[in-house]
Amino acid sequence: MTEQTMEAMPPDTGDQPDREERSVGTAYLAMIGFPVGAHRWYLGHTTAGILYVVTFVLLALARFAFRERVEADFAPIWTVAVALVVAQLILDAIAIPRWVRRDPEAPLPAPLLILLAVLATIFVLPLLLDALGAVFTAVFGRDRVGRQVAMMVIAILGVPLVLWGYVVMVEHMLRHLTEVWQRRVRPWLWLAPGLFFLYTFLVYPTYGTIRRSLYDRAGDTFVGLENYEWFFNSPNTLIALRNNVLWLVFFTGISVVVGLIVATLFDRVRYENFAKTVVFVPMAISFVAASVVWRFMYVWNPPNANQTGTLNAIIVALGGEPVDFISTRSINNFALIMVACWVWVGFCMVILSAGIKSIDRELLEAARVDGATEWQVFRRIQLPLLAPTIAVVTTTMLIFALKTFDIVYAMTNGNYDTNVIALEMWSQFSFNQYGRASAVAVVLLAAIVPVMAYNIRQFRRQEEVR
Amino acid sequence: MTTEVVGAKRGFRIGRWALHLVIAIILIMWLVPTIGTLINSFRTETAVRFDGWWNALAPPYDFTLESYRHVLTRQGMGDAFINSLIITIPGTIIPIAVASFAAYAFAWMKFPFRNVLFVIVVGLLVVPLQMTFVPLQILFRDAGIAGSFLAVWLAHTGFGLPFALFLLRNYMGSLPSAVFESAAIDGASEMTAFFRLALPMSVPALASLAIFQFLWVWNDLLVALIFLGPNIPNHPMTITLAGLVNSLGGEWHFLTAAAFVQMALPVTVFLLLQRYFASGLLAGAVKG
Repeated sequence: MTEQTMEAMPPDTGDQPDREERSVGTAYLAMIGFPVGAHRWYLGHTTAGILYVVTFVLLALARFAFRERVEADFAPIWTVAVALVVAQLILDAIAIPRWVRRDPEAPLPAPLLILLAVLATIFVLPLLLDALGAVFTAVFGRDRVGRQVAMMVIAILGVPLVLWGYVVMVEHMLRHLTEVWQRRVRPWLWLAPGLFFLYTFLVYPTYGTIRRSLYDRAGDTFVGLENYEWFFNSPNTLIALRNNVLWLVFFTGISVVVGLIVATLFDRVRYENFAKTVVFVPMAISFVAASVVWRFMYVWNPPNANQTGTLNAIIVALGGEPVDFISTRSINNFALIMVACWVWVGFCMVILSAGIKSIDRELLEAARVDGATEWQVFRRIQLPLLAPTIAVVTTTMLIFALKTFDIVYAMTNGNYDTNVIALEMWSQFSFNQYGRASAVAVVLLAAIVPVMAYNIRQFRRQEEVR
Repeated sequence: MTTEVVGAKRGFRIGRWALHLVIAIILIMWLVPTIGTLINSFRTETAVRFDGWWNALAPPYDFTLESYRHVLTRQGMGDAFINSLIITIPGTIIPIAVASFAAYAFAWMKFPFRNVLFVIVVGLLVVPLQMTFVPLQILFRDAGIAGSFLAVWLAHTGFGLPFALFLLRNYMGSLPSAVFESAAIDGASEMTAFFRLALPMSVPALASLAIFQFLWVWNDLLVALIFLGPNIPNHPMTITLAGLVNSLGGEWHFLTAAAFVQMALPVTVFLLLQRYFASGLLAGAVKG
């Protein structure tokens, strides 16, 4: 830390602070965070003050939300609160020499006042907590739902504020480093929360799953490739594997082709936006709800009865025999794939439609003037120019086809030979067969790795253009 | 010559009509499943069981709100609706908050391994969630939060982060660098640049990200099943609904109403904010 960098630190607002009388009252207010007096610009105190207040509120909410097990579980939060105060103390202690020099820009140190504030905080906090707790009880009620809503409020207020407080703190600490070191250290501190989540929730578990797939059910005996042997030899998982191939080919093929047709057709009419919305809306519907909707399309009744399912009613009206779409083994996989297509064609359409729009209209007009038919315009001009977009859509669909779960779970739960890999993973997981479940997951990852490699290559190429 | 032009025009006109006809058929194919189910949700149990929904369109009309009343009060859908909200709101806000700081660092700070790290993020975009379930479940169990909302929030934060980072970093990176350079010359700290410039300028990307994450968490079944599985009081609507589909017994005709209760919120959000959703899709997919 050099004196120069300290001096060069500019105030956050433009106005020059004057030397002014520091009454104990103003000083205290400034210190606990109210923007008063010459210290208006000193973000540290304001932020710390807001953080104190927010910590109070969150603590009160937390106490309310977890009423039964307050004291023991709140050690971490107390630690954080104390750490905030201590950090503030340290920051202020650093500024003492400047305050002694009567530097007008020196932050307010007032160690005694801070000590007083800490003491006041410690004594006032429980009272404040109880007062706020009473307010929350009045607002949310004391039942389970009320407590959980309180928990939600803690999470949605607390996390952004903690992150904000974290960055403010980081920047404060960094001010004591030289420019060069600031630039070296800052990115990592800003990345830290994100990298923490990526590591804890994606990277580390991926490693853990690969490891676990080589162990037995309880996870303590190394069994080599036994779980994989089971996967590639049991009839149920082989059916799942076969069905995923069906999904890969037919789901990807149908949704990309239909998406392309729909996008090209809609591009030629004036009510394009309305039409696109109609096809796009299923994207907002959960697969479970889509399954319910299609259950009613696929309803089957015996041939003599009144057909209440839309599709069978049409088939019978056309003179056919009613089809049991769900349990007929040659058809049911395609029935499920159709549901997924109904949802995902909208996605393909939107992406491909944007691709079509980015093609120069004059190019198409020129071709038409030269006597090209609409089919030729599509086949010879639009299609080749769309190839990269089609590739992107196709890879997305391939990944989805491999991961497909919800529709099969909701419509057949894997019965009648409709099992898929992701559902098999869930079954093994729910039987506590963690070794087998891990092996199934690794098979899924292995199937996705080529797509991942392709994506990364595309991304690199894109970055070179940037 | 003239007749040829007229003929071409007539052919063109027939082509136009054929085009409109094909589009109309496509739209009907897309609307019929939803409309049929919607109509069924307003009918009585006997009508749903023995009669196709299309017959309800002819008089005598006999519509009722009985299914909705039943579903909201007696099938646990009311509680599940609140659970879905409790899961979804933090599950949307937390990942975006975490991602925005890191995305800014990726976009505007220089540090070693920046590109390697971001390539890893791009790779993590497609890692199947199944790869994480077993170790995370064990982790949550050891931490004593298995089956709680906290576990699901954390899981959704981790799972949503690669896409959020990818989208936000690309968007922030495409902001004009002159803005940040002049801010730095005027003495703005990185914090000021982030809060006063990068974040407000990224509002469109943040909006599409929020819609995405909201729809994904609200409609999620798998993550909820894995991490809330045995804890029935915490089940969101997707699990309750899936449970109803599989228990075909006497509850069959309530399914329709239950499905529409589950759909109502995401479809409304989607229809209102479709533009942001589509632009998010394009930013996320075309560039990948």
